[in-house]
Amino acid sequence: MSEVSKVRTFPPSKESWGGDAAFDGTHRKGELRGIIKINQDNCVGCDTCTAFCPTEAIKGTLGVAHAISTNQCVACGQCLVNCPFGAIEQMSFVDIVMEKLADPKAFVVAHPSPAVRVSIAEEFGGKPGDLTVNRLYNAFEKAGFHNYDVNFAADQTILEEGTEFIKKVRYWVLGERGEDLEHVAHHPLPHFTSCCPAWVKNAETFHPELIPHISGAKSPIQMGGPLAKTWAAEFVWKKDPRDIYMVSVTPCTAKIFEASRPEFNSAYEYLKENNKIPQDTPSFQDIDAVLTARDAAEIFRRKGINPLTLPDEREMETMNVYTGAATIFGASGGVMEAALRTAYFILSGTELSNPDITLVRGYEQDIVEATIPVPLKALNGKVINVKVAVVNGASRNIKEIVKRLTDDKNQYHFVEVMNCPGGCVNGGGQPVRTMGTSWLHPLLPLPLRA
Amino acid sequence: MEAKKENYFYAEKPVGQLLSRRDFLKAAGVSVSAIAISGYVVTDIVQKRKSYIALRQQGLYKDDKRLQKANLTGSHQNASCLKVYQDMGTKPMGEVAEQLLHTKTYVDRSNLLMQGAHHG
Repeated sequence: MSEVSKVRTFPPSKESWGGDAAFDGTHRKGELRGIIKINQDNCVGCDTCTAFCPTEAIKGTLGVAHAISTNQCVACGQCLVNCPFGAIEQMSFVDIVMEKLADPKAFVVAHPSPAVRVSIAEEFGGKPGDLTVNRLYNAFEKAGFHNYDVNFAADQTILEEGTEFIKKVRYWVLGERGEDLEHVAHHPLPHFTSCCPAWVKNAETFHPELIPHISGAKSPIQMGGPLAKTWAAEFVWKKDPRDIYMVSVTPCTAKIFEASRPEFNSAYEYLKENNKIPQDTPSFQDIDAVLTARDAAEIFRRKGINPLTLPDEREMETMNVYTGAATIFGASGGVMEAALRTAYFILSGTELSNPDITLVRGYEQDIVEATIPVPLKALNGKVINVKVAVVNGASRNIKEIVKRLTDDKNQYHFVEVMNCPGGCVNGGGQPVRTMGTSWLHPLLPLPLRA
Repeated sequence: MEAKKENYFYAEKPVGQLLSRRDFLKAAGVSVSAIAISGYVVTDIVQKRKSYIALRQQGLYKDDKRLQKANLTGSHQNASCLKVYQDMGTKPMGEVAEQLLHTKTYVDRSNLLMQGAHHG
């Protein structure tokens, strides 16, 4: 009943980062490609995966071994977790991270996403949804990592993205003008979230007209990377930023791609500009390696650690402080709910009387709409109705949301997009359920079960 | 006028040696229940397919409740975040925050596709 199945992985090769050309198809120099691969020997051509692909990137018909178009793929891994035959494989950095853990000079930091804390137990015989917070920190520490919770960075994301959204509302809804609003003059509403890297690549490739609408605030992981190597290096860990090796642990395979985006080396740029590192230091990325939840479990297994047997207690440290708003990022509608909690507080001057905006939660509806009345402190309590939409899974719904906005561009102020139905909890890097995703498994005769 | 009288007569037709009418009913009954039960099992599996999504979501909302009780509901209540702004001498969307936490680089990849094309 509650088993998870093993996913085959392969290490990145030299070609994975591309050649010397500035661009190759849809990828720029240095960006990882081919993160998700269909093993031609194991694919039976059942055609299940094509229905889950958000960009129709999978070629092949019933009975023929399928293949993924690298240029169209957004690396979300939905095909992988839904393949009934375990024929789809993932690029993995487990060996590279293991080497770093053995290096005494390296200060290796684990940066675990919200959705990992409700899934990693499944790899060790636990149930889906078993909450492991302190046990997970303790496991990372035992494996040789230092902890920096992505949820802390997610709170930072809300403070940045919430501020950005409020500026957009002031400029585009209330008609305010001013120096501090110049920036948002080129970024009209509706505001789209930017946390989901598969969605961002999807928009960049297939809906470039949406680019000015996507939040300029980076995703939590990409805020955590630069903060670790600048702020935490100086004020918390007191370490040379060049020795810090940031490992994000995510429910996501598209985050592997995101970390390789060449512009995500802002800590390096900042440190060089402020003379905190020598000018001849070679460039380093904000996030050095990405592990999926499955990869992290593999590291624990190799080191003989079972997080479920570790103590569930720990002192609260600066690097692990986070709020409820941050932890719900991992569920569809969560980014929206988190942003509304803070935006409401800033705009109205009071906390939401009920912080649980259950309207935007769930996993079965394709697109959820809601209207949130917000009284404005600056305008003596005048109420504006903030219209929001949550896109729950990209495969069917991006076209629909673009269609609705083509019909009336003003119908939403804020749109959250999650590539995976249900949000990150159902991401392509999560443990693969035999009873859940790979659902044909229990029907197979015993010798055929992988 | 005399009412027309009809005599009904019916005898079970002898069906071949293979299957009598009663045997056919038995066989049909057994196959229908076999199909119904297996159909139920498959439907059940299909329905349970998504239950793990709900369970993992519930785990996160449980975490949310735990933090709400500790007066950590919204991101503006995170003291560590406020410390970041203080230490770095910036504020949300301030100069340093813009440099480290925001991006201006979203690429039109459809364009890249076109740049890669050539007439040969």
